[in-house]
Amino acid sequence: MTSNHNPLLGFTDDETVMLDFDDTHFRDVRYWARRVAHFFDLGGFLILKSSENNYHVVFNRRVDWSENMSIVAWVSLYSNKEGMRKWFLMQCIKGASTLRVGPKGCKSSPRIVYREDEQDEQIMGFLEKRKNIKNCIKYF
Amino acid sequence: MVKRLSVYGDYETTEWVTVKQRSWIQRVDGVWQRYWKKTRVPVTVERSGRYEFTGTGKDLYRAVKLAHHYMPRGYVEVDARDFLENPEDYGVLGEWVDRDIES
Repeated sequence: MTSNHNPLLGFTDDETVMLDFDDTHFRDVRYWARRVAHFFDLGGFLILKSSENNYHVVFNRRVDWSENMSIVAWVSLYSNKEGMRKWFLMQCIKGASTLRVGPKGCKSSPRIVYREDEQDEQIMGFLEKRKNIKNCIKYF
Repeated sequence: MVKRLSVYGDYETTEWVTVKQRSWIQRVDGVWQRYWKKTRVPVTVERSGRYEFTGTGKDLYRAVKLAHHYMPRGYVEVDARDFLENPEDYGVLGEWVDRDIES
């Protein structure tokens, strides 16, 4: 049996704080990323645009799973974003955070649109893994 | 915990289900009597699943390639090399389909 469609490919980690903003303008995403990075002392962050008004944020400092989920819960509570809440619950069920790296239907792979402060710890790991995954995608 | 590569989505696969089939048997007195026989038929079902692969570059690439044919049985967390050696243990043959799903 051969497949006409490809599965979704993503990056999963429980030590990296990652956020998924749906239906949010870039300025709002950057505001929340700065606020979270400052409040929880997460160092720098990286913003990726997954599609129109949909953004992913990855933070630099390594955290444990409980701290990770407490940060994501804080953001989903105060930002009042329904998409974020849904995504947060999904990550709680899985026990690790996942962000899409590959294309999804007509949407292309998320691309980097903004960086701020240090990028040398978890962000570097994320970018390395992202590169590996994108290399895999290239052949399909 | 190590960083992992996720391969996920909805897929279609063939499953064998048990159904009741109407049959007839001729009794010794010559009367045809109806009875229900249990039989198994293949049906196409839609499922969702997810692989969480750990491993190195080449193994991961091969595992992702194989994951295009072997659909995950639910949530499967596996080393890419183990999956390459025994894909039947972790997945079933099927076909990925496009659906709008969450990460």
